[in-house]
Amino acid sequence: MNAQFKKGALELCVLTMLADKDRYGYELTDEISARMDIATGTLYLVLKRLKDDNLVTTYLQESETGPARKYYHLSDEGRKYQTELKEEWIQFVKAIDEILGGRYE
Amino acid sequence: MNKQEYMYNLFEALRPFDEDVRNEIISDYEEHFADGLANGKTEEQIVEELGSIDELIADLKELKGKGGDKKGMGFDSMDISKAADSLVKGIANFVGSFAGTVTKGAEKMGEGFADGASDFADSFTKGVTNAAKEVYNKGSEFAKDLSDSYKATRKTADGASDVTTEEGSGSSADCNEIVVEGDCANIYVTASPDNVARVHYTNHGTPNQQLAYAFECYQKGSTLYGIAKRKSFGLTNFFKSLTSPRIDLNVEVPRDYKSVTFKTASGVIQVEGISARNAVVGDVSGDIEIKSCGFETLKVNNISGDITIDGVNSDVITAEAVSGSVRTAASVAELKTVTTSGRTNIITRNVNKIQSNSVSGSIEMTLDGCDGFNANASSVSGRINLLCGESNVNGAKSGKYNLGSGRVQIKASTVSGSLRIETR
Repeated sequence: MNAQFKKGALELCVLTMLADKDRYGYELTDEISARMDIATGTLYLVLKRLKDDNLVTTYLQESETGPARKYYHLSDEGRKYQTELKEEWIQFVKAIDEILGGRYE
Repeated sequence: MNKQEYMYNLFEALRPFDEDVRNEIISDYEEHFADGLANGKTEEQIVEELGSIDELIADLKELKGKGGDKKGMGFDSMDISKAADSLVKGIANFVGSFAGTVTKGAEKMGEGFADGASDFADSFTKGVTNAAKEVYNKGSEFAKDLSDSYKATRKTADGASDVTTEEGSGSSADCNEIVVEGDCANIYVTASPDNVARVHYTNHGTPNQQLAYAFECYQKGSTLYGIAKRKSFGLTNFFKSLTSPRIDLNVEVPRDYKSVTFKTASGVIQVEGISARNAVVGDVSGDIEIKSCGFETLKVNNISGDITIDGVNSDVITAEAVSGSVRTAASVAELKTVTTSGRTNIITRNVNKIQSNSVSGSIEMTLDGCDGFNANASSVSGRINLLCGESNVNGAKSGKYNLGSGRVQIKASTVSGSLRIETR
């Protein structure tokens, strides 16, 4: 798959998973890599990039089992960005689908 | 590989990066291992899933820009607001032009077919245009929001608009090597009038195309780097990179540099009037032209573009193309050319040794001021002609031929092309 495309898609996946609740790294990466053939390491960079861009924030929280975990929280900007990115994605996929076979009205 | 080995390799690979970046990644990975093990995975499984460290480092470099000791100016495409505004137009245009192409294709399909096809194309176009409009409308809102949020979070956005080209440049007076690379950039190289190396970047694209590319110029040790490349930050960039803008890199090189490297993927490369010890020029689909230059060694690679070397003085020249043709007119002691299907045309002076190979391309050599050659010539199905003063061998079979003084050593082979060697 085109690398740019994949990265953008992963960004959308991560943002969407964070839309309903805060999650920690393993939770996010394990869920996504279970569905896609992708190096988990890449996802940590996606998370880092989102954090550097202030689309997500992080905080540490004790876990019952081991050392403190880093939790990711979707910022207001991130939420807005996720909504629009998702909309853009759907429109794009629709347009492609129409070209491929007109499955949509 | 177990966790300890993997983490050690990761630690080593992260050395060039800032401490905070290093620590963050190491602690993310440590946490990932802890959670993975707690979920019943083995260290080896987790290592496997995390994936290649090399790839991670490559991604990280892209994210961080080039690591290392930057000097001089760094320049990043700026002004996200203006780009965001026109990003969506780009999508609409793309989808629109695609529909247009289909319509054109349908018209060309022939008369009997044309009516049905054009009906199809019409409705198709309508559907796509509507979709494109929708994307555009949604997108405008998105563009506005995006620009706001970026304004809030990024200090680089300056709100300027109506910029038609984007430019940047860097220079150095104390280097002796230069590396210039561009994804889709044209590279024009000339001699520096004042012994200062310069790289000037001009992006003629639309604002969103300008945003999709970054230019960096920096010095590392005694090497000046000028790199123009496609940026990567997310989905939006995928849309922007569907079409390539015209980007020019104008380079000025001081005399007698130790090494010069010019590489691009789809642009042309023109090098004129420079001298350097070692030169490397590489392209994928653009033409390469090297004119009136002096080198000790020159290496040129191209895939589908042509290579023209004209009026060049070099001890050794290597020129390789796949489907492009190779044309050299040079004063060169040792020349090597390789093509797959492209034609090879060689004119040389002062040559001692030539090796030229092709699969289906023809090879022609003219040796200026040469009193003879010793040729190992082979062609499977092409015609071989060897001419040296009075002695001519026309329609020769593959084999070794000694003509005149036999001074110049030639090895030439093509499978289906013809082969002609001539002195004058």
